[in-house]
Amino acid sequence: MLSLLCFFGIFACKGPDQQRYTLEGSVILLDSINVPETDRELEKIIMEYRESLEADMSKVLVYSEHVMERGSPEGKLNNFVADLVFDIGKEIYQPDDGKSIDFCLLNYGGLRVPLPKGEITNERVFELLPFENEMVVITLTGERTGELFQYLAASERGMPVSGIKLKIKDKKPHEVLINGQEFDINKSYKVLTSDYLAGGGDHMNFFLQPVNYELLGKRIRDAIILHMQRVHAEGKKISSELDGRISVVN
Amino acid sequence: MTLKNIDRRTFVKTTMLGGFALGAGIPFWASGNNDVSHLCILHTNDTHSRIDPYPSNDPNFPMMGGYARRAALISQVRNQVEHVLLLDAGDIFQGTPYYNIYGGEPELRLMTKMGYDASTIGNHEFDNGLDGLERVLPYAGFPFINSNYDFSQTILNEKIETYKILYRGNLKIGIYGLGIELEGLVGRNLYGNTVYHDPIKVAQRMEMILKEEHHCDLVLCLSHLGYKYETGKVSDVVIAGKTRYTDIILGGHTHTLLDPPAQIENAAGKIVYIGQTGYAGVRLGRMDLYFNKNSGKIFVESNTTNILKYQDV
Ligand SMILES: [Zn+2]
Repeated sequence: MLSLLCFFGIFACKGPDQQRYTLEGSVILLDSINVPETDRELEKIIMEYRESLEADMSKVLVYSEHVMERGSPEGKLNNFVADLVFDIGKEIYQPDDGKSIDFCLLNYGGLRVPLPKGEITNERVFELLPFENEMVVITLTGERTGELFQYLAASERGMPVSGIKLKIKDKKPHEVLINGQEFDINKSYKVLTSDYLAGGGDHMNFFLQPVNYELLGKRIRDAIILHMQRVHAEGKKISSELDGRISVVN
Repeated sequence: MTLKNIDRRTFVKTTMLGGFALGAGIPFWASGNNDVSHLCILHTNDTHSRIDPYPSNDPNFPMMGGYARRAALISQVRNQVEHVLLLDAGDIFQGTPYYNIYGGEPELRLMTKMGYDASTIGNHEFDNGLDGLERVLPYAGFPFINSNYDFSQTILNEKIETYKILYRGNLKIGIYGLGIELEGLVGRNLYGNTVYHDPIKVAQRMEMILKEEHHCDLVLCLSHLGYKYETGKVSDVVIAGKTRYTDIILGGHTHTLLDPPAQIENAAGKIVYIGQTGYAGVRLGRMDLYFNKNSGKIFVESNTTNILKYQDV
Protein backbone atom coordinates (compact mmCIF):
# COMPACT_ATOMS: atom_id res chain seq x y z
CA MET A 1 0.00 0.00 0.00
CA LEU A 2 2.60 2.47 1.09
CA SER A 3 5.02 1.59 -1.65
CA LEU A 4 2.28 2.08 -4.19
CA LEU A 5 1.53 5.57 -3.01
CA CYS A 6 5.14 6.50 -2.73
CA PHE A 7 5.50 5.75 -6.37
CA PHE A 8 2.97 8.45 -6.96
CA GLY A 9 4.22 11.98 -6.80
CA ILE A 10 7.77 10.80 -6.92
CA PHE A 11 10.17 12.71 -9.05
CA ALA A 12 13.82 12.37 -9.58
CA CYS A 13 15.94 15.47 -9.38
CA LYS A 14 19.00 15.68 -11.49
CA GLY A 15 20.19 19.10 -10.44
CA PRO A 16 23.75 20.37 -10.61
CA ASP A 17 24.74 18.99 -7.20
CA GLN A 18 23.92 15.45 -8.09
CA GLN A 19 27.48 14.40 -7.44
CA ARG A 20 26.43 13.88 -3.83
CA TYR A 21 22.91 12.53 -3.85
CA THR A 22 19.67 12.17 -5.70
CA LEU A 23 16.57 13.36 -3.95
CA GLU A 24 13.02 12.19 -4.46
CA GLY A 25 10.33 14.12 -2.69
CA SER A 26 6.64 13.63 -2.24
CA VAL A 27 3.88 14.59 0.15
CA ILE A 28 1.57 11.86 1.38
CA LEU A 29 -2.06 12.60 2.21
CA LEU A 30 -3.03 11.01 5.50
CA ASP A 31 -6.42 9.60 4.57
CA SER A 32 -7.90 6.16 5.16
CA ILE A 33 -6.91 5.00 1.68
CA ASN A 34 -3.22 5.81 1.95
CA VAL A 35 -2.99 4.89 5.62
CA PRO A 36 -5.77 2.49 6.58
CA GLU A 37 -4.45 1.71 10.04
CA THR A 38 -3.86 4.02 12.95
CA ASP A 39 -1.35 3.52 15.72
CA ARG A 40 -3.04 1.72 18.61
CA GLU A 41 -0.62 2.86 21.25
CA LEU A 42 -1.08 6.49 20.32
CA GLU A 43 -4.83 6.10 20.16
CA LYS A 44 -4.74 4.97 23.77
CA ILE A 45 -2.85 8.05 24.93
CA ILE A 46 -5.09 10.33 22.90
CA MET A 47 -8.17 8.73 24.44
CA GLU A 48 -7.12 9.88 27.91
CA TYR A 49 -7.03 13.46 26.77
CA ARG A 50 -10.02 13.27 24.43
CA GLU A 51 -12.48 11.93 26.95
CA SER A 52 -12.12 14.72 29.46
CA LEU A 53 -11.94 17.27 26.70
CA GLU A 54 -15.04 16.03 24.89
CA ALA A 55 -17.23 16.20 27.92
CA ASP A 56 -16.24 19.78 28.34
CA MET A 57 -16.32 20.83 24.71
CA SER A 58 -19.57 19.33 23.53
CA LYS A 59 -21.60 21.43 25.96
CA VAL A 60 -24.07 23.70 24.15
CA LEU A 61 -23.62 27.25 25.43
CA VAL A 62 -26.37 29.02 23.51
CA TYR A 63 -28.35 28.98 20.24
CA SER A 64 -27.82 31.44 17.41
CA GLU A 65 -30.62 33.01 15.33
CA HIS A 66 -28.48 32.99 12.20
CA VAL A 67 -25.03 32.41 10.76
CA MET A 68 -22.49 35.06 11.76
CA GLU A 69 -19.51 35.61 9.54
CA ARG A 70 -16.72 38.09 9.66
CA GLY A 71 -16.76 40.78 6.99
CA SER A 72 -15.27 44.00 5.70
CA PRO A 73 -15.76 46.87 6.31
CA GLU A 74 -18.12 45.35 8.87
CA GLY A 75 -19.51 41.90 9.54
CA LYS A 76 -22.11 40.34 11.81
CA LEU A 77 -19.45 38.40 13.60
CA ASN A 78 -17.24 41.49 13.96
CA ASN A 79 -20.12 43.39 15.56
CA PHE A 80 -21.26 40.53 17.77
CA VAL A 81 -17.84 39.95 19.27
CA ALA A 82 -16.87 43.62 19.62
CA ASP A 83 -20.20 44.60 21.21
CA LEU A 84 -20.20 41.95 23.85
CA VAL A 85 -16.51 42.30 24.69
CA PHE A 86 -17.15 46.05 25.06
CA ASP A 87 -20.17 45.40 27.32
CA ILE A 88 -18.34 42.97 29.56
CA GLY A 89 -15.25 45.18 29.63
CA LYS A 90 -17.28 48.17 30.81
CA GLU A 91 -18.90 45.97 33.43
CA ILE A 92 -15.66 44.75 35.00
CA TYR A 93 -13.51 47.85 34.51
CA GLN A 94 -13.02 49.89 37.67
CA PRO A 95 -11.26 53.08 36.63
CA ASP A 96 -9.07 55.04 39.06
CA ASP A 97 -10.05 58.27 37.37
CA GLY A 98 -13.78 57.52 37.12
CA LYS A 99 -13.65 57.61 33.31
CA SER A 100 -15.13 54.57 31.61
CA ILE A 101 -14.00 52.95 28.35
CA ASP A 102 -14.71 54.95 25.17
CA PHE A 103 -14.71 52.20 22.58
CA CYS A 104 -13.53 48.72 21.70
CA LEU A 105 -11.21 47.60 18.90
CA LEU A 106 -10.31 44.00 18.11
CA ASN A 107 -8.90 42.41 14.96
CA TYR A 108 -10.41 40.66 11.98
CA GLY A 109 -7.68 38.01 11.92
CA GLY A 110 -8.56 37.02 15.46
CA LEU A 111 -11.98 35.70 14.42
CA ARG A 112 -10.98 32.29 13.18
CA VAL A 113 -14.26 30.61 12.15
CA PRO A 114 -17.89 31.73 11.56
CA LEU A 115 -20.63 30.96 14.08
CA PRO A 116 -23.33 28.67 12.65
CA LYS A 117 -27.08 29.05 13.06
CA GLY A 118 -28.40 26.93 15.94
CA GLU A 119 -26.25 25.18 18.54
CA ILE A 120 -23.13 26.97 19.62
CA THR A 121 -20.89 24.56 21.49
CA ASN A 122 -18.01 25.36 23.77
CA GLU A 123 -15.78 23.87 21.10
CA ARG A 124 -17.05 26.31 18.49
CA VAL A 125 -16.17 29.23 20.70
CA PHE A 126 -12.68 27.79 21.21
CA GLU A 127 -12.31 27.51 17.45
CA LEU A 128 -13.61 31.05 16.97
CA LEU A 129 -11.09 32.42 19.47
CA PRO A 130 -8.32 29.89 20.02
CA PHE A 131 -5.86 32.45 21.34
CA GLU A 132 -5.40 33.10 25.01
CA ASN A 133 -5.83 36.84 24.65
CA GLU A 134 -6.56 39.02 27.63
CA MET A 135 -8.72 42.12 27.72
CA VAL A 136 -6.72 45.33 28.12
CA VAL A 137 -7.74 48.97 28.49
CA ILE A 138 -5.32 51.29 26.74
CA THR A 139 -5.41 55.04 27.26
CA LEU A 140 -4.25 56.83 24.13
CA THR A 141 -3.51 60.47 23.38
CA GLY A 142 -5.78 62.15 20.83
CA GLU A 143 -2.99 62.02 18.31
CA ARG A 144 -2.51 58.26 18.70
CA THR A 145 -6.28 57.79 18.58
CA GLY A 146 -6.20 59.65 15.27
CA GLU A 147 -3.60 57.17 14.01
CA LEU A 148 -5.91 54.37 15.07
CA PHE A 149 -8.67 55.72 12.83
CA GLN A 150 -6.23 56.17 9.98
CA TYR A 151 -5.24 52.54 10.44
CA LEU A 152 -8.88 51.45 10.34
CA ALA A 153 -9.59 53.54 7.25
CA ALA A 154 -6.56 52.15 5.40
CA SER A 155 -7.14 48.53 6.43
CA GLU A 156 -8.31 46.07 3.82
CA ARG A 157 -10.03 44.04 6.51
CA GLY A 158 -12.97 45.08 8.64
CA MET A 159 -11.76 45.33 12.21
CA PRO A 160 -14.36 44.50 14.88
CA VAL A 161 -15.28 47.74 16.65
CA SER A 162 -17.89 48.87 19.13
CA GLY A 163 -18.76 52.36 20.38
CA ILE A 164 -17.66 54.20 17.26
CA LYS A 165 -19.05 55.18 13.89
CA LEU A 166 -16.50 55.60 11.12
CA LYS A 167 -17.05 56.83 7.58
CA ILE A 168 -14.12 56.19 5.24
CA LYS A 169 -13.39 58.17 2.11
CA ASP A 170 -10.38 57.43 -0.11
CA LYS A 171 -8.97 55.14 2.57
CA LYS A 172 -8.94 58.02 5.07
CA PRO A 173 -11.25 58.71 8.01
CA HIS A 174 -13.98 61.04 6.78
CA GLU A 175 -16.24 61.19 9.79
CA VAL A 176 -15.51 59.76 13.24
CA LEU A 177 -17.99 59.54 16.08
CA ILE A 178 -17.02 58.12 19.46
CA ASN A 179 -20.02 57.33 21.57
CA GLY A 180 -22.02 59.74 19.38
CA GLN A 181 -19.53 62.57 19.93
CA GLU A 182 -17.21 63.87 17.27
CA PHE A 183 -13.59 62.73 17.68
CA ASP A 184 -11.46 65.40 19.37
CA ILE A 185 -7.70 65.18 18.83
CA ASN A 186 -7.11 67.21 22.01
CA LYS A 187 -8.72 64.58 24.22
CA SER A 188 -7.36 61.24 25.37
CA TYR A 189 -9.39 58.06 24.87
CA LYS A 190 -9.69 54.73 26.58
CA VAL A 191 -9.72 51.80 24.19
CA LEU A 192 -10.62 48.24 25.10
CA THR A 193 -8.57 45.75 23.11
CA SER A 194 -6.61 42.51 23.46
CA ASP A 195 -3.13 42.25 24.92
CA TYR A 196 -2.02 40.90 21.55
CA LEU A 197 -3.02 44.07 19.73
CA ALA A 198 -1.89 46.27 22.60
CA GLY A 199 1.56 44.76 22.10
CA GLY A 200 1.62 46.01 18.53
CA GLY A 201 0.07 42.88 16.98
CA ASP A 202 -1.30 43.30 13.45
CA HIS A 203 0.99 46.33 13.26
CA MET A 204 -1.28 48.37 15.50
CA ASN A 205 1.71 50.46 16.48
CA PHE A 206 -0.48 53.28 17.81
CA PHE A 207 -1.03 51.09 20.87
CA LEU A 208 2.67 51.03 21.72
CA GLN A 209 3.81 53.43 24.45
CA PRO A 210 0.31 54.29 25.63
CA VAL A 211 -0.59 56.82 28.33
CA ASN A 212 -1.87 53.95 30.44
CA TYR A 213 -2.07 50.15 30.15
CA GLU A 214 -4.55 48.28 32.35
CA LEU A 215 -5.06 44.52 32.20
CA LEU A 216 -8.62 43.54 33.07
CA GLY A 217 -7.60 40.01 34.02
CA LYS A 218 -10.15 38.38 31.78
CA ARG A 219 -9.66 36.46 28.56
CA ILE A 220 -11.68 37.53 25.56
CA ARG A 221 -12.92 34.01 25.02
CA ASP A 222 -14.05 33.75 28.62
CA ALA A 223 -16.00 37.00 28.22
CA ILE A 224 -17.78 35.54 25.20
CA ILE A 225 -18.60 32.31 26.99
CA LEU A 226 -19.92 34.30 29.95
CA HIS A 227 -22.13 36.40 27.67
CA MET A 228 -23.49 33.33 25.87
CA GLN A 229 -24.31 31.60 29.13
CA ARG A 230 -26.20 34.68 30.30
CA VAL A 231 -28.20 34.98 27.10
CA HIS A 232 -29.05 31.29 27.29
CA ALA A 233 -30.09 31.55 30.94
CA GLU A 234 -32.52 34.31 29.93
CA GLY A 235 -34.07 31.90 27.43
CA LYS A 236 -32.86 33.96 24.47
CA LYS A 237 -30.76 33.34 21.38
CA ILE A 238 -27.76 35.30 20.19
CA SER A 239 -27.99 37.47 17.08
CA SER A 240 -26.18 40.33 15.40
CA GLU A 241 -26.95 43.10 12.92
CA LEU A 242 -25.01 45.14 10.42
CA ASP A 243 -25.53 48.79 11.40
CA GLY A 244 -23.08 50.67 9.23
CA ARG A 245 -20.65 51.40 12.06
CA ILE A 246 -17.86 51.28 9.53
CA SER A 247 -18.78 52.38 6.01
CA VAL A 248 -17.09 53.59 2.88
CA VAL A 249 -18.47 56.76 1.32
CA ASN A 250 -17.76 58.34 -2.04
CA MET B 1 8.43 -3.21 -7.10
CA THR B 2 9.20 0.37 -6.49
CA LEU B 3 12.22 2.57 -6.33
CA LYS B 4 12.05 2.39 -2.58
CA ASN B 5 12.47 -1.34 -2.48
CA ILE B 6 15.17 -1.46 -5.11
CA ASP B 7 17.24 1.01 -3.18
CA ARG B 8 16.73 -0.52 0.19
CA ARG B 9 20.00 -2.39 0.15
CA THR B 10 21.77 -1.37 3.25
CA PHE B 11 24.78 0.75 3.09
CA VAL B 12 28.01 -0.96 4.02
CA LYS B 13 29.63 0.96 6.79
CA THR B 14 33.35 1.06 6.28
CA THR B 15 35.61 2.26 8.97
CA MET B 16 39.02 3.42 7.99
CA LEU B 17 41.96 3.30 10.27
CA GLY B 18 45.20 4.76 9.04
CA GLY B 19 43.85 4.66 5.54
CA PHE B 20 42.98 0.95 5.57
CA ALA B 21 39.52 -0.39 5.74
CA LEU B 22 38.63 -2.69 8.56
CA GLY B 23 36.30 -5.62 8.20
CA ALA B 24 35.68 -6.14 4.51
CA GLY B 25 39.17 -4.98 3.73
CA ILE B 26 38.07 -2.99 0.70
CA PRO B 27 37.06 0.64 0.99
CA PHE B 28 33.44 0.89 -0.09
CA TRP B 29 34.08 3.44 -2.81
CA ALA B 30 36.45 1.02 -4.44
CA SER B 31 34.44 -2.10 -3.88
CA GLY B 32 32.59 -1.81 -7.17
CA ASN B 33 29.17 -2.52 -5.76
CA ASN B 34 26.28 -0.14 -6.25
CA ASP B 35 25.34 0.32 -2.64
CA VAL B 36 23.99 3.70 -1.84
CA SER B 37 23.35 5.25 1.47
CA HIS B 38 19.66 5.95 1.71
CA LEU B 39 18.28 8.54 4.08
CA CYS B 40 14.57 9.13 4.38
CA ILE B 41 13.50 12.49 5.81
CA LEU B 42 9.93 12.73 7.03
CA HIS B 43 8.61 16.15 7.90
CA THR B 44 5.60 18.07 9.11
CA ASN B 45 4.82 21.73 9.78
CA ASP B 46 1.96 23.81 11.17
CA THR B 47 0.21 20.76 12.59
CA HIS B 48 -1.68 23.16 14.89
CA SER B 49 -2.82 20.77 17.61
CA ARG B 50 -4.82 18.60 15.16
CA ILE B 51 -4.48 15.54 17.35
CA ASP B 52 -7.72 13.99 16.09
CA PRO B 53 -8.51 13.62 12.40
CA TYR B 54 -10.80 16.29 10.97
CA PRO B 55 -14.50 15.52 11.53
CA SER B 56 -16.40 13.72 8.77
CA ASN B 57 -18.32 16.88 7.81
CA ASP B 58 -15.22 18.94 7.20
CA PRO B 59 -15.40 20.44 3.70
CA ASN B 60 -11.67 20.14 3.01
CA PHE B 61 -10.21 17.21 4.91
CA PRO B 62 -13.00 14.88 6.11
CA MET B 63 -11.55 12.21 8.44
CA MET B 64 -8.03 13.08 7.34
CA GLY B 65 -4.91 13.62 9.38
CA GLY B 66 -4.64 12.89 13.07
CA TYR B 67 -1.63 11.92 15.12
CA ALA B 68 -2.46 8.19 15.31
CA ARG B 69 -2.62 7.92 11.52
CA ARG B 70 0.58 9.87 11.10
CA ALA B 71 2.26 7.58 13.63
CA ALA B 72 1.13 4.49 11.69
CA LEU B 73 2.64 5.81 8.47
CA ILE B 74 5.88 6.72 10.21
CA SER B 75 6.17 3.21 11.65
CA GLN B 76 5.54 1.77 8.21
CA VAL B 77 8.39 3.83 6.77
CA ARG B 78 10.67 2.86 9.65
CA ASN B 79 9.98 -0.79 8.90
CA GLN B 80 11.09 -0.27 5.32
CA VAL B 81 13.96 2.17 5.61
CA GLU B 82 16.82 1.89 8.04
CA HIS B 83 17.79 5.54 8.27
CA VAL B 84 14.92 7.89 8.95
CA LEU B 85 14.91 11.48 10.17
CA LEU B 86 11.63 12.86 11.49
CA LEU B 87 11.41 16.63 11.77
CA ASP B 88 8.90 19.40 12.35
CA ALA B 89 9.10 23.02 11.24
CA GLY B 90 7.04 24.62 13.98
CA ASP B 91 3.53 25.74 14.91
CA ILE B 92 2.85 22.47 16.64
CA PHE B 93 0.58 24.40 18.98
CA GLN B 94 -2.74 26.19 18.69
CA GLY B 95 -5.79 25.42 16.60
CA THR B 96 -7.89 22.97 18.60
CA PRO B 97 -9.10 22.94 22.20
CA TYR B 98 -6.42 20.37 23.02
CA TYR B 99 -3.94 23.20 23.13
CA ASN B 100 -6.20 25.55 25.05
CA ILE B 101 -6.86 22.97 27.71
CA TYR B 102 -3.58 21.08 27.94
CA GLY B 103 -1.09 23.70 26.75
CA GLY B 104 0.80 21.45 24.31
CA GLU B 105 1.44 18.50 26.62
CA PRO B 106 -0.30 15.86 24.45
CA GLU B 107 1.23 17.19 21.21
CA LEU B 108 4.77 16.89 22.59
CA ARG B 109 4.17 13.56 24.32
CA LEU B 110 2.74 12.05 21.14
CA MET B 111 5.47 13.46 18.92
CA THR B 112 8.01 11.93 21.28
CA LYS B 113 6.24 8.56 20.89
CA MET B 114 6.45 8.95 17.11
CA GLY B 115 10.19 9.42 17.48
CA TYR B 116 10.60 12.99 16.31
CA ASP B 117 14.27 13.90 16.09
CA ALA B 118 13.83 17.67 16.29
CA SER B 119 11.52 20.61 15.78
CA THR B 120 11.98 24.31 15.38
CA ILE B 121 9.91 27.02 17.08
CA GLY B 122 6.94 28.55 15.30
CA ASN B 123 5.28 31.81 16.31
CA HIS B 124 2.37 29.91 17.87
CA GLU B 125 4.74 28.12 20.22
CA PHE B 126 4.71 31.44 22.12
CA ASP B 127 0.93 31.57 22.49
CA ASN B 128 0.97 30.69 26.17
CA GLY B 129 3.99 32.86 26.75
CA LEU B 130 7.55 31.76 27.47
CA ASP B 131 6.37 30.20 30.72
CA GLY B 132 3.72 28.24 28.86
CA LEU B 133 6.33 26.79 26.52
CA GLU B 134 8.83 26.18 29.30
CA ARG B 135 6.23 24.28 31.31
CA VAL B 136 5.51 21.72 28.57
CA LEU B 137 9.07 21.39 27.17
CA PRO B 138 9.84 18.42 29.46
CA TYR B 139 7.22 16.43 27.52
CA ALA B 140 9.33 16.73 24.37
CA GLY B 141 11.88 13.93 24.20
CA PHE B 142 13.46 15.72 21.24
CA PRO B 143 15.26 19.05 20.95
CA PHE B 144 13.82 22.34 19.76
CA ILE B 145 16.34 23.98 17.47
CA ASN B 146 16.47 27.69 16.78
CA SER B 147 19.51 29.72 15.77
CA ASN B 148 18.18 33.27 15.45
CA TYR B 149 16.24 33.84 18.66
CA ASP B 150 18.36 34.83 21.60
CA PHE B 151 16.71 33.37 24.68
CA SER B 152 19.59 34.12 27.04
CA GLN B 153 17.62 36.75 28.96
CA THR B 154 14.57 34.47 29.31
CA ILE B 155 13.53 31.35 31.19
CA LEU B 156 14.24 29.36 28.01
CA ASN B 157 17.95 30.08 28.37
CA GLU B 158 19.88 26.90 27.45
CA LYS B 159 16.67 24.98 26.84
CA ILE B 160 16.67 25.55 23.08
CA GLU B 161 19.47 24.21 20.87
CA THR B 162 21.24 26.62 18.53
CA TYR B 163 22.06 23.76 16.19
CA LYS B 164 22.22 20.01 16.41
CA ILE B 165 24.25 17.30 14.75
CA LEU B 166 22.60 13.93 14.21
CA TYR B 167 24.10 10.74 12.85
CA ARG B 168 22.44 8.22 10.59
CA GLY B 169 24.69 5.36 9.58
CA ASN B 170 27.82 7.02 8.27
CA LEU B 171 26.04 10.28 7.56
CA LYS B 172 26.59 13.34 9.68
CA ILE B 173 23.65 15.69 9.50
CA GLY B 174 23.78 19.26 10.76
CA ILE B 175 20.52 21.00 11.56
CA TYR B 176 19.93 24.66 12.33
CA GLY B 177 16.65 26.50 12.85
CA LEU B 178 15.21 29.85 11.78
CA GLY B 179 12.26 31.65 13.40
CA ILE B 180 10.12 34.48 12.10
CA GLU B 181 10.21 38.10 13.33
CA LEU B 182 8.06 38.14 16.45
CA GLU B 183 7.31 41.83 16.69
CA GLY B 184 3.87 42.57 15.31
CA LEU B 185 3.07 38.86 15.11
CA VAL B 186 3.28 37.72 18.71
CA GLY B 187 2.31 39.78 21.76
CA ARG B 188 5.31 41.32 23.51
CA ASN B 189 4.16 40.02 26.85
CA LEU B 190 4.34 36.52 25.33
CA TYR B 191 7.83 36.54 23.85
CA GLY B 192 9.28 38.75 26.60
CA ASN B 193 13.01 39.33 26.30
CA THR B 194 13.50 37.03 23.33
CA VAL B 195 15.73 38.82 20.82
CA TYR B 196 15.27 38.22 17.11
CA HIS B 197 18.31 38.21 14.81
CA ASP B 198 18.48 38.51 11.02
CA PRO B 199 17.86 34.99 9.66
CA ILE B 200 20.05 35.50 6.59
CA LYS B 201 23.20 36.29 8.58
CA VAL B 202 22.43 33.57 11.09
CA ALA B 203 21.85 31.00 8.33
CA GLN B 204 25.18 31.88 6.73
CA ARG B 205 26.98 31.57 10.05
CA MET B 206 25.26 28.29 10.94
CA GLU B 207 26.01 26.58 7.65
CA MET B 208 29.66 27.61 7.91
CA ILE B 209 29.86 26.08 11.38
CA LEU B 210 28.12 22.89 10.31
CA LYS B 211 30.05 22.48 7.08
CA GLU B 212 33.49 23.86 7.73
CA GLU B 213 33.93 23.16 11.44
CA HIS B 214 31.86 20.01 11.80
CA HIS B 215 32.13 18.68 8.24
CA CYS B 216 28.50 17.61 8.04
CA ASP B 217 27.49 15.56 5.03
CA LEU B 218 24.17 17.28 4.92
CA VAL B 219 23.07 20.66 6.18
CA LEU B 220 19.38 21.02 6.99
CA CYS B 221 17.48 24.12 7.91
CA LEU B 222 14.26 23.88 9.89
CA SER B 223 12.50 27.14 9.15
CA HIS B 224 9.38 28.88 10.31
CA LEU B 225 9.99 31.94 8.13
CA GLY B 226 7.43 31.06 5.47
CA TYR B 227 8.01 29.88 1.91
CA LYS B 228 7.91 33.12 -0.10
CA TYR B 229 6.51 36.66 0.12
CA GLU B 230 5.60 39.14 -2.59
CA THR B 231 7.12 41.88 -0.45
CA GLY B 232 10.57 40.36 -0.50
CA LYS B 233 10.41 39.78 3.26
CA VAL B 234 12.88 37.14 4.38
CA SER B 235 11.59 33.66 3.52
CA ASP B 236 12.84 30.17 2.71
CA VAL B 237 13.33 31.18 -0.91
CA VAL B 238 15.47 34.14 0.19
CA ILE B 239 17.51 31.96 2.56
CA ALA B 240 18.06 29.38 -0.19
CA GLY B 241 19.42 32.03 -2.53
CA LYS B 242 21.76 33.53 0.07
CA THR B 243 23.37 30.37 1.39
CA ARG B 244 26.04 28.03 0.00
CA TYR B 245 25.98 24.84 2.05
CA THR B 246 22.38 24.42 3.10
CA ASP B 247 21.08 21.39 1.22
CA ILE B 248 17.48 21.27 2.33
CA ILE B 249 15.06 23.67 3.96
CA LEU B 250 12.05 22.20 5.69
CA GLY B 251 9.67 25.11 6.11
CA GLY B 252 6.39 26.21 7.58
CA HIS B 253 4.27 29.19 8.57
CA THR B 254 2.77 30.02 5.15
CA HIS B 255 0.90 26.68 5.09
CA THR B 256 2.25 26.12 1.60
CA LEU B 257 1.96 22.72 -0.05
CA LEU B 258 5.13 21.97 -1.99
CA ASP B 259 4.69 18.69 -3.82
CA PRO B 260 7.24 17.96 -5.11
CA PRO B 261 9.71 20.07 -3.11
CA ALA B 262 10.74 23.38 -4.64
CA GLN B 263 14.22 23.68 -6.12
CA ILE B 264 16.00 27.00 -5.72
CA GLU B 265 19.51 27.85 -6.85
CA ASN B 266 21.80 28.88 -4.00
CA ALA B 267 24.65 31.39 -3.87
CA ALA B 268 27.04 28.74 -5.17
CA GLY B 269 24.79 27.75 -8.08
CA LYS B 270 23.66 24.52 -6.46
CA ILE B 271 20.13 23.34 -5.87
CA VAL B 272 18.47 23.76 -2.50
CA TYR B 273 15.35 21.70 -1.92
CA ILE B 274 12.52 23.30 0.02
CA GLY B 275 9.73 21.20 1.51
CA GLN B 276 6.48 22.27 3.15
CA THR B 277 3.39 20.14 3.66
CA GLY B 278 0.43 22.50 3.99
CA TYR B 279 -1.03 22.50 7.49
CA ALA B 280 -2.92 20.67 10.22
CA GLY B 281 -0.96 17.46 9.80
CA VAL B 282 -3.14 16.13 7.01
CA ARG B 283 -0.01 15.35 5.05
CA LEU B 284 3.43 13.94 5.76
CA GLY B 285 6.36 15.15 3.70
CA ARG B 286 8.91 12.62 2.55
CA MET B 287 12.30 13.11 0.96
CA ASP B 288 14.45 10.15 0.01
CA LEU B 289 18.11 10.90 -0.43
CA TYR B 290 20.30 8.39 -2.17
CA PHE B 291 23.93 9.20 -1.57
CA ASN B 292 26.10 8.51 -4.50
CA LYS B 293 29.03 6.19 -4.02
CA ASN B 294 30.96 8.58 -6.22
CA SER B 295 30.17 11.45 -3.95
CA GLY B 296 33.82 11.91 -3.23
CA LYS B 297 33.80 10.91 0.38
CA ILE B 298 36.37 8.90 2.22
CA PHE B 299 35.29 7.69 5.60
CA VAL B 300 37.97 7.83 8.21
CA GLU B 301 37.87 7.20 11.87
CA SER B 302 38.14 10.26 13.98
CA ASN B 303 41.23 10.57 16.15
CA THR B 304 39.29 11.40 19.23
CA THR B 305 36.06 9.48 18.93
CA ASN B 306 34.62 6.52 17.16
CA ILE B 307 32.38 8.76 15.15
CA LEU B 308 32.94 8.43 11.45
CA LYS B 309 34.14 11.52 9.71
CA TYR B 310 34.78 12.13 6.09
CA GLN B 311 37.06 14.29 4.10
CA ASP B 312 36.50 15.48 0.61
CA VAL B 313 38.74 13.89 -1.98
ZN1 LIG C 1 3.38 30.23 11.98
